[in-house]
Amino acid sequence: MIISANRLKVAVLLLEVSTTFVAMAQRRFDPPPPLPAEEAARQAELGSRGVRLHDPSTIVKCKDEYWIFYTGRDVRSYRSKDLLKWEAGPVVFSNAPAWVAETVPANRSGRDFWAPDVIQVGDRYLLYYSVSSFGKNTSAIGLVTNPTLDPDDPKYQWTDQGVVITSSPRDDFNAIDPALFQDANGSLWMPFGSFWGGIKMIQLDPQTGKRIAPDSPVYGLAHYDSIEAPFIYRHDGKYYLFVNWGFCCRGTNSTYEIRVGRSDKVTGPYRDREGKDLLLGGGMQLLGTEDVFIGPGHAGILKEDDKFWFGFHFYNAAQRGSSTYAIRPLRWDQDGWPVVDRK
Amino acid sequence: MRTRNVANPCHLWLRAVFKAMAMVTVLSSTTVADQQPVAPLGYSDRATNRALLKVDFEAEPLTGWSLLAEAGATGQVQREFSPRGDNTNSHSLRLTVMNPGRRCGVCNEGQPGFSVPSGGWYDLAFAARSEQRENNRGYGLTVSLESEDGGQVLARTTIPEVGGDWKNYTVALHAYAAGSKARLVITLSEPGTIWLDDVSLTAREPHTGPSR
Repeated sequence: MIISANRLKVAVLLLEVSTTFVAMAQRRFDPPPPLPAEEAARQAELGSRGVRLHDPSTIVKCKDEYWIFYTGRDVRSYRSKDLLKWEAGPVVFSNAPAWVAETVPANRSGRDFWAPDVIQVGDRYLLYYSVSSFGKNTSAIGLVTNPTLDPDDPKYQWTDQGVVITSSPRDDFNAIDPALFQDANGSLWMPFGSFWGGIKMIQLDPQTGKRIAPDSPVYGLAHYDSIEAPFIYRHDGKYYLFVNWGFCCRGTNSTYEIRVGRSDKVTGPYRDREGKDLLLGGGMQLLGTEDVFIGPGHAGILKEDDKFWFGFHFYNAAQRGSSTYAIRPLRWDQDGWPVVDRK
Repeated sequence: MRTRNVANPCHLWLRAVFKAMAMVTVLSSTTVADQQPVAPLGYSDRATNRALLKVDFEAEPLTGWSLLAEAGATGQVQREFSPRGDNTNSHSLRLTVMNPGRRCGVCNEGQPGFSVPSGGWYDLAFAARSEQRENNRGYGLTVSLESEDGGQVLARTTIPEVGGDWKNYTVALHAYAAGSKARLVITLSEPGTIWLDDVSLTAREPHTGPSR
């Protein structure tokens, strides 16, 4: 049978394309090589929990368990009883919230959610999550609530509360990377942002978990050439703003580092140790690439009894740059600035 | 013998279906355009907005655009023949950064007397492309409005992923300080090369602030 030249070319092209896709898929789903026992133990001593995730939320406690939520389809979670051993918890969403398709049409599946954060306010848990697409600022931060995080509790039920804030090319911010905290007066605040005009913040109503008013002020807190993943922590009467500088998602070439500034007022100005305003590019380095811990980012702090724990993710140089969770002890120096210890 | 003039009823159905699909497409795209007006590249979508800058780099020689290199930075700016789309738009601005130093990019002096009030809103639109990079990563690009001598940044925004084939970008700038004779600066934070075209900067009238 004579096959025409054109058909042959098409067939070869199809073959090439399909094998490329198979190779790509293989690579994506290939788990990274397991660490040799010695290296795993060494990393564990330096805080690595061997748990693979990206953009961890702050650690939240429910009953006698600790929970973290992270980037992934349907928002994923890990749970632990001791902060050392973590096991996969349930995903949050079982289908895409109705509003996603219209508000962020570029979000591939309508369920590809990034960088959630969780806070317990009153008798329920508020989980905020980012809906976006890479490289664009047409985004939204959504909210779902649950009376409990324990999936075995009969009251366990995530309820969609809709959109908290959106962004478009008409705005000078990207509405992703929410973080939640309550100030000294119990007011609820949400710093957020990634690139564009930098880190912003709005005030939320603790009763509803939503923005206090449709056109409430958007405060600017920090800016840099590459900045995202804010986190604010109140300690000893001051507010500490942690941010990521650099680029994520490049495996061992990731340049993330964690920077910090502080303020007496929750709305700023936040200044670093040298007094430089974070809005003008200030920021004291708290944690940078060290050892196999490449590009640390996405800070979260947990206080247990009198000890502070600093959670973050890093790209593991010993595992092809696979993003991994770590927790290290945190202390405050004599001037009140945070220090992350190696062990 | 069957005459060939009689159309096959199957063909008639198919043509009707395709016509219906075409109509639906036309109607729906008209509706979408009415609901979400999108500013065509280089022009403001409201008559009251002031166009401050509109450059397609066709005029030669290149004037008003110069290299900005601070603290050890090295780079190159030039007008280049790089056709895209239709033949009338055949030149663009090429920015090459060899060493980003503290800052490296391109600066436009703008119109004399381009004053920026604190709180002012601006929209910058441009087309850009980059050379192919490993993993198809784009460049981090920073756009700022600065006081004449660069001493003060009046507004700044960054785009994390600029690169690949020609694409249109739109960013909003919100001034947190006032300045007169402001200039537009575009910088890359890593070594590399990008091409820019159809750059336009418009000022929003004060009363048409952010949409939400």
